[in-house]
Amino acid sequence: MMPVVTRKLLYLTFVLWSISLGTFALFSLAPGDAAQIILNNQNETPARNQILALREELGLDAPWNVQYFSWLKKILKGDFGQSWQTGRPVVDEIFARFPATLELAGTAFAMVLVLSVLSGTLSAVFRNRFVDRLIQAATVVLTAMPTFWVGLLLIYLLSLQCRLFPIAGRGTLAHLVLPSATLALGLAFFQGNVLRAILLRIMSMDHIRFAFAKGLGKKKILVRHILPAALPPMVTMWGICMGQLLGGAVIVESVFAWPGIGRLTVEAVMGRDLPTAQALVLLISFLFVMVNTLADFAQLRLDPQMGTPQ
Amino acid sequence: MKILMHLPGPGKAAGWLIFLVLVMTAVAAPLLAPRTPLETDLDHRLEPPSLFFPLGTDQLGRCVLSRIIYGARISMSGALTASLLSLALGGIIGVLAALARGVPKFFLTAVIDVGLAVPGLILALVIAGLLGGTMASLILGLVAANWPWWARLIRGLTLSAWQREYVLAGQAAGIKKTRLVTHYILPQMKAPVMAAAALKTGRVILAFSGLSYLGLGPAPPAPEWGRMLQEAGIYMTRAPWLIMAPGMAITLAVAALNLIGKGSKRS
Amino acid sequence: MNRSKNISLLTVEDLSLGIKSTGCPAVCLVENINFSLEPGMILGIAGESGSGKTLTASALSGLLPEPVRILSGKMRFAGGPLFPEKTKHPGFKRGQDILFLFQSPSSALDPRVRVGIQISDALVQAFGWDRKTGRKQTCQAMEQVGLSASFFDRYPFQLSGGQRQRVLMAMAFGLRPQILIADEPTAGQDDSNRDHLLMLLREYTRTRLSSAIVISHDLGVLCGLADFLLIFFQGQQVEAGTPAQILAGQGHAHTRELVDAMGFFQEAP
Repeated sequence: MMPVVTRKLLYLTFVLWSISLGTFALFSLAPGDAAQIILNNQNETPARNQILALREELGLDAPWNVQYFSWLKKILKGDFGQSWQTGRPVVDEIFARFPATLELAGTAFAMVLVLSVLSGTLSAVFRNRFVDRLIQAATVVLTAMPTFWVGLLLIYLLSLQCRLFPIAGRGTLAHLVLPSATLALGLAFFQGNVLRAILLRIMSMDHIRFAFAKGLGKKKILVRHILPAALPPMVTMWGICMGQLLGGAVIVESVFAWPGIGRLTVEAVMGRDLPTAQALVLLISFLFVMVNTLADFAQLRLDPQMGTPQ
Repeated sequence: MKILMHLPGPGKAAGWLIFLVLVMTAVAAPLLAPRTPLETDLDHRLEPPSLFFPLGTDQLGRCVLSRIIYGARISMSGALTASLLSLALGGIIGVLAALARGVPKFFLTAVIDVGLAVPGLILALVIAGLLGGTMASLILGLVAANWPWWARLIRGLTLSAWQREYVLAGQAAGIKKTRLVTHYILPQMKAPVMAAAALKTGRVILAFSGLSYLGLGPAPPAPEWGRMLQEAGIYMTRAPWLIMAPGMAITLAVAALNLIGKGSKRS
Repeated sequence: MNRSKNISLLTVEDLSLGIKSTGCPAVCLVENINFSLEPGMILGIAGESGSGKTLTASALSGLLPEPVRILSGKMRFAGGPLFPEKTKHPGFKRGQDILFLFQSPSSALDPRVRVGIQISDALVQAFGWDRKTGRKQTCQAMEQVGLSASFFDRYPFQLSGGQRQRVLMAMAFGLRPQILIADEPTAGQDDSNRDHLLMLLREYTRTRLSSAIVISHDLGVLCGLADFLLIFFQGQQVEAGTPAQILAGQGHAHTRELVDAMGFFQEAP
């Protein structure tokens, strides 16, 4: 039986390949003639022979598997084609906008981390007391609020009324606050609630009771036994969190006119710019899968039972 | 203060109450709404809430309250349809993936994993957009985004139920697999699936209105809550109250479902 | 037995444990327990599963599981009440004064933390040492129970059942609590491990500075170990006496059953 790591990597490669296949299938099934759309976007009313000529050039009449493999070859070389909206290479468009989303998602993730650990731990330690009930109530409301509404409310209260932050766009640190807070808020309380459940389960275990029996204080038990035991399931949750951050970024970037790949995805989809949309789906999925695989490997390292010779 | 601590929090009952009120609002919209949702009154544009227009008017003079009430129809029907369809599709694939052997099992499990690999909102966005951005395409997109989650959950539940002794005993007694599934395993899953369905439907409502906010889904002048928020955002400086009603409506619906889901889990 | 209250380490009078919720009558799980523990004494509590032995021990260390409470009775430790009326703090220090070793060492030990650390944590907490001294003292305690210092860095899953039990004993020897409560210390052990553990328990009380309460369903083990025995049956203390008295006397029916069971095991080759 081959070692765990190798097996996981092989499966990962398989999943990535399947994603490429699925993405290609999805986009080739999209209604609309590719050649026609390209020519339309170039502001010409295409004549029939122009469409046929472009189809020939793009190889759109070749059999399906030929199209797939030639596409795959180009992808692996880093050629994602030209944007149908701007004509520029898709890679350029994406790389121009990627750092912005990274900044947004990264900041939001940091906020989620801090806030969720705080709220989850407080909830669990003071279970069913005032703090817990308060946090639980806040969770029900905040996780029910749509992200775009939170964004609009924050803009209204803090930008328009109080003039504390700029309304939209990217630039200074002040520009970063509202968008990342909007993205982080609901997620933080959701994760905090998950952490609470995990901590409560751990706290009911015998070895926690025994830690009390041998004389350790509450704080020491929390730090030495409870929180470390919560780490593995939380790492998995953080991996999933990334997916929600990427999805949420699409909304938040639109609300705050943030120049990231989330907004690019919306523009590409609305503008029928298939190469860009396709590349974005591929890259975002890739990113998400990699993050989750990292989380998986982190779990392996965290478990003292894995990897030690018996 | 101490009494407050001992009051049971609003639980399942409150959630169901709010949810049923919303459903009835949707169903009885023509009876409840003071005006029709498309009726414009250009003399009364962007007016704040008054006796005449309880929630004010939007940029075309339409009554916000009426639009919210009618909007319940769109959000409820769209989200519930998408949720049920993805549950059905995901459930079937999940059960099959759990009970299959060999190559089909690997294939089904891989399909689920690949489906989970694309963040939900992005997949829904792309599919809804590619298929034309109508209500139907939005529902389809949400189904495509959500069925893998259901498949994974039900696959897990089926696998663990399959290990239970009474199922093994049933197999030994010669009961056919399909009957085991329908009569022994599926009834077992009712509770966790119900709780998960409530919570998931809440997230579907958020995704539905989110994609409408971005411009997909039922086209204007349809009173979809997310779309109303997008329009309200444009006029926020002149008529800030406009952003309150649609946002609160969505929050209320999702919060009700959250309460139902959380309450079910505790019991 | 000399029952002078002045030198008793621990006295328990009419202790009753149970569950009481507002509006409902109390459900009594353990009723009217009475005993007194002298320094250097080993008290044995025998009885079948579910007779309330572990609950009583939990009450003594203030670790009753959630809904169970002390319904009535008095417990005194070293001259003062075990759980003083007005304060939330117990009248003793857990670990240092009274150490309750759980029934299953596998569930008592945190699977993710090295066993040496788990022992030294308790010692550092009790005596305020730094990490280095803690480690040194832990290794000393481990050697006293027959575990070499190399076991310090091991994880519980790397130890056998008997070794895990010894880890708990090492905690006891390191902390030197005045009262050591051992719940089923010999359960599931093979003979050589069991003998070794019994020897350690005897060793523990030899200096007359500490006492032990040993809980077991195996009367045979307790007869050879304890100075005084309590027999529990369905939450009640049905008999009390020295091992000789218990074995010889015409006591409670249940005692006879336990004695007979013991005899059965002794006669089998």
